[in-house]
Amino acid sequence: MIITVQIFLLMMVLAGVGIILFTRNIVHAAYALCLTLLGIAGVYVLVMSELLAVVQIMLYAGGVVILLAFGVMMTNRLRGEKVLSGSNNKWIGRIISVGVFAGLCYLISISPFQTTSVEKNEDQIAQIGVSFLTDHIVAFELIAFVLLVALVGAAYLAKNAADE
Amino acid sequence: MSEQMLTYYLYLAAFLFASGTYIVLTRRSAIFVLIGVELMLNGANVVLASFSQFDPAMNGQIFAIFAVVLTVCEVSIALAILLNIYRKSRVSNLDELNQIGNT
Amino acid sequence: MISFAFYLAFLLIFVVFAVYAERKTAAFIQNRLGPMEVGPKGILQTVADLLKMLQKEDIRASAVDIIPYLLAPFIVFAAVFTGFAVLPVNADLSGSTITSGVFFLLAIVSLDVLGILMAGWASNNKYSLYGAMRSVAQIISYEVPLGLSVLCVIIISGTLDLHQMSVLQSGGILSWYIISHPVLIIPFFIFFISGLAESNRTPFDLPESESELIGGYHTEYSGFRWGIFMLSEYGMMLLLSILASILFFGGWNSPMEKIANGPIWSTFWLLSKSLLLIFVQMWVRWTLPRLRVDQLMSLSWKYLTPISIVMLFVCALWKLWLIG
Repeated sequence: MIITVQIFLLMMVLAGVGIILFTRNIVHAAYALCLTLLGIAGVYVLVMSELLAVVQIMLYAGGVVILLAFGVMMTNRLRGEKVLSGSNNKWIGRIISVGVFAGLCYLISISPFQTTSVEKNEDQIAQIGVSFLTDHIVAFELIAFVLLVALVGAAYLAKNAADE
Repeated sequence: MSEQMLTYYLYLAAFLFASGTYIVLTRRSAIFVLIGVELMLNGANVVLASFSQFDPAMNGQIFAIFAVVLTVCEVSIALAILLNIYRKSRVSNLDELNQIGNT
Repeated sequence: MISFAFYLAFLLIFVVFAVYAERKTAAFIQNRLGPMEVGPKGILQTVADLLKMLQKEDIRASAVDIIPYLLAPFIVFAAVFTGFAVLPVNADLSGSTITSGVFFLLAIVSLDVLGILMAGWASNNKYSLYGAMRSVAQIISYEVPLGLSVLCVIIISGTLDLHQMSVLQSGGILSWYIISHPVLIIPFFIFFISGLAESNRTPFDLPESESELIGGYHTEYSGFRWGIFMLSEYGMMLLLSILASILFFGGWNSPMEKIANGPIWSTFWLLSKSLLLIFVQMWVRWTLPRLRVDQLMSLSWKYLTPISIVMLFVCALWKLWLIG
């Protein structure tokens, strides 16, 4: 049962990444990114990170992808320009990325991981909420501040763009 | 969850990271580069989440949630800047962005 | 799984009757008869329309971006319908028991924006794209007050699971949240208004305002694919009404304690509460005029969002006062 789910999620992720790698159309790439992100959300559920999976769906698939697609449309489509884009330095990119992949795979294969079994926590979300406000309170407050700064900054930048 | 299964997730993360690197290095369009950055960040998050299941305090998952929130900030600011650049100089390819100052 | 199958069947039957009810409500409000020809009192009119729609030619303009164009209606429907997975039907039939219940629902339903944007962009048509842009801006803006008003209920109930939330409200009309916790009255209205905007209903139907944009994001769609867009709009209405009746009106609990409590009765209570809310949505649709774009945005960002943030604070204080 779980192996079917795993294969399905793997296919989602690979199909999404494959489309991003080979398409020249930015909007198609944004949609394929959404497919990949949903597949990764499924992976999060399989590794018992349910809250992270829902956050991924809400913020990444529902937020970032919409922003990207919106960005493409604001800049290109309304003025009737093409949404295709090319690439540079293909061979350097291939060599470096294959090198990165091979290096990471080598490191993973030689690392001696020892897994311990942890009993499954029933109320994971409550525990995460408590640790947000106790152990991770500084990071939590800082994130709130950064979000405020990002909100104000994005609004200011967009206002400047509208005035031009 | 066996060690074997864990390494499969890590290979997936490595694949995501490497393809993100390729896209960041080669693509001309700024939005494509952002997509590549998202893929790399997701690769990192997969690693964090898959180790987090062995941690009773779930620090990996919490860290990954913070990373997701920060990414949303990053993308929104980046797109606002791109929109500004585009309105000013009609350029959306990164190669052509080679001037600084009020041109 | 059973609740999912139940809702799929119910949604399909519901849409047929909801379209009829919508036309009859409109006719009643505008003091005319409405459909009267097909069947007694015109009750089979929607079936006839459905048959006509299914036979229509599937028109594709030559300049559309073909794969997103074909996929878009199904993405919208899948996103809306996945939300039904976590809804309970009655006391014995809870939905999917994931711990992040209502949060998951809000997250997955927000993906329908993606399908709408896809439809508008792939149609390669100025009006479709403007309709999709308006729709996305509207849905994303109204998600903020919607989420905050749901958060008010979550503070009071202390759980994200919709089934658990219904169990907590058992025991007659007095223990429904909107009655036992009067601070939730304002969040309910915020939820209802944002729900209207989320499902693109009048007075927030700017994305498809036919007098300005022809048909909005589904201008280029015909026949069955157009039908799927309509199906998901009605599905969204039903989903948000069921959610409202679970969050504020006791879910599947009967209004009288100890009377009419069996599984069939509790399903009846849940569905009749939601259908009543849907009637209110139709009533609003035929009573209020459509808003302008700037009024729409200022309603969300200048009124609903600040009020719901204040209500969140008030609900937290109320909870503190309740527990000690």
